[in-house]
Amino acid sequence: MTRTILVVEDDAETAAYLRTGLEQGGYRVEVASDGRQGLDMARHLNVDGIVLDRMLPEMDGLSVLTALRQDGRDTPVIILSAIGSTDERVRGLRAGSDDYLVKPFAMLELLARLEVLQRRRLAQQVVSTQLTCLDLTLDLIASRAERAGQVLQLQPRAIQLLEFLMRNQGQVVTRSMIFQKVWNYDFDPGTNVIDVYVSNLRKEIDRESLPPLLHTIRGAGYRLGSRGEEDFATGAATS
Amino acid sequence: MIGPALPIAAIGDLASRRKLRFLRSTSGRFAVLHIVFSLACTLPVLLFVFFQIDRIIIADFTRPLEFRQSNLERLYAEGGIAGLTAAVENRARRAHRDQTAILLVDRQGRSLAGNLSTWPQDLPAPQDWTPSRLLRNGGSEREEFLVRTVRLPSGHRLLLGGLLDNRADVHRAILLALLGAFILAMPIALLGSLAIVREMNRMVAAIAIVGQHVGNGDLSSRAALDGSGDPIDRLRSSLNTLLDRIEVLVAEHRVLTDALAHDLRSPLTRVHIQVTRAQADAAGSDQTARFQAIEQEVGYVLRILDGALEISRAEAGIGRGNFEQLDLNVMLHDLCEIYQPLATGAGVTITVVCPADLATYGDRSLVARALANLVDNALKYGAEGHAITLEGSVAGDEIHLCVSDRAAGIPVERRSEAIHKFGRLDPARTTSGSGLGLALVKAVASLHRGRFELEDNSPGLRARMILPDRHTALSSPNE
Repeated sequence: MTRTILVVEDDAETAAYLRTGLEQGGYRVEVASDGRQGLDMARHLNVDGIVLDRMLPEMDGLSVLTALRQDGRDTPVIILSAIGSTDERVRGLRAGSDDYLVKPFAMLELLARLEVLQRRRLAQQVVSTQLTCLDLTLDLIASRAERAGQVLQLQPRAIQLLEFLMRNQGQVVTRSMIFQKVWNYDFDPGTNVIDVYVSNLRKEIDRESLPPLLHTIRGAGYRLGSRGEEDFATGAATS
Repeated sequence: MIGPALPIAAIGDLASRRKLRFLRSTSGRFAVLHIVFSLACTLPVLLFVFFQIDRIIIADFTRPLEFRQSNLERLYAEGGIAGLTAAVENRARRAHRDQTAILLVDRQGRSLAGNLSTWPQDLPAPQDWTPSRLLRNGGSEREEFLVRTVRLPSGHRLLLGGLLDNRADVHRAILLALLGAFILAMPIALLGSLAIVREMNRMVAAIAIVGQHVGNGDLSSRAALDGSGDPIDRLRSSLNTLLDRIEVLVAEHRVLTDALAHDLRSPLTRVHIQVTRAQADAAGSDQTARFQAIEQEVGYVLRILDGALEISRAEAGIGRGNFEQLDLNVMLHDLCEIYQPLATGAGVTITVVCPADLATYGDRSLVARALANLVDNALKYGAEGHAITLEGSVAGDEIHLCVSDRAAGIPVERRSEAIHKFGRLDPARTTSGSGLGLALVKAVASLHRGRFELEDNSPGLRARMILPDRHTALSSPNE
């Protein structure tokens, strides 16, 4: 089943770039060029996600979002905006957006975040405390991870990181997503920090003679899962 | 005639409109109000004086008459009605000299003696001192007397009155004097109100002039305070606070735009060069390296822009609405953990010293970012000290968050320069980092109504961010 994403963006160039990128990511794309039209389409088309600009003609993005949430619609919304200061991001999230991405953005980052939202929507009801990825298991209650029957030595933060990766297994997660979700901060700590934590985790998970599970996706982030699934090789294009 | 003459009606109209405008103006209403109030105060005083004087005159007047009457009553007691009649007769003969009215009538009202022909119709007996108009025998018209009547045990009635001629004179004199006082009060009230309006206008004009100076671009102009704390002084003081804020914001704006223009120009120029060269290169040659260089420069530009905007917003006090309770102990440990891998790589140990319940209200994301900048800075410039300490402590109603290293530090005279936006102690700007790190920390501190200081850690540098504790943070005015 192809999922549909509504892009509400008044800049034609960016809208076209989003359409191409999202279509390559396997989505069907509808584009609205102003806020009012965006709200109409969000109400009448059954879309699976909305990529919403903030500064729009007719009706600004936050008003569109507020109106949608007042309707009782829980369609996942990612705000994609040039307005990026901390307090404005908080405003966006408080207005009911599920994620906030600042322009210019990397298409891979947007796809990864959109995918996570889609997945979270499907798995919303299930609160599992037992996660599995092939021969890797994580028991959240016992804080115990095992790979191929061997217990892994992990610090609490490494377990949180592993949980995040396992909940999004098969998906690319970016460094900024990891930092936001696992450490719960939104500044840029420099990529090395995440890399060090991931490589320490990898040392535990992918021990010698075992097929690697934690993969680095160049220009994007990391993916947990067996090798050979579709690879993001498009590079980190920006708008 | 010079120029077109206005019709008379139009001139009158203009004058009345001008008058109306004067009354509508604050000064006009003030003046009128002051006149009305001062006259309203004068009038009762004058009336009081008038009646008081009248009362004194009458009291003064009755004393000799009472003496005369007591004489007559004595004669009546001694000589009966005949003696009294003779005395009245005698008195009436001399009455023209001391202006007395006197009359004795019998039970039927027939005149026995006196200088009045009949008992006045509307005059009862007995009656205490009352002004009454009487016509004396031989007189041409009625005159005002102060009269007292008594009824004798025999049924005879006696009337004794003194002519109130000087009362009218005194009344006239007093009224003239009072009128004079009233007329004098008018210009005094007018002068008073003019003085008040002038003073008021002077005070307001002083404030308006400050506004005008600022409007004309002299942002340092301030209203002089007299320290009295009265509403006008408070107005001046709040105007000054407003202007301080504006001055800071404008200075901020100027520094930001200047520095941005300066700092963005170099990477953008490099991008421009790369693009130009890429176009000049032979078709089909590999441009990957150029594109990577361009991407790096653009990323650098974006980071500068992001930091500058964040600082500018924080310094303008935008975002206080996002304040939440912060567990600073957890935050310091988080930062230690986040930077541990980098520190280990650089041969540095990070230590956290902090009480378990260190908390305040603030913007979580910005405080974390500020502290991260300090740690980042310490790792970048203080790594040769091999030790970084993150320290949280309480001092009075303040919370001190310190990041210290053990390296060379910054000399005292260069510390303020280090905090300045785009101020880097590295003129060649070869080290990575936009030079906004410490400026952001300072801006975040001031957003939280705190301070940021650089100190000597002997050896090394101690960066101290001071935030109000949770009680002070909550009680400080929020917008």
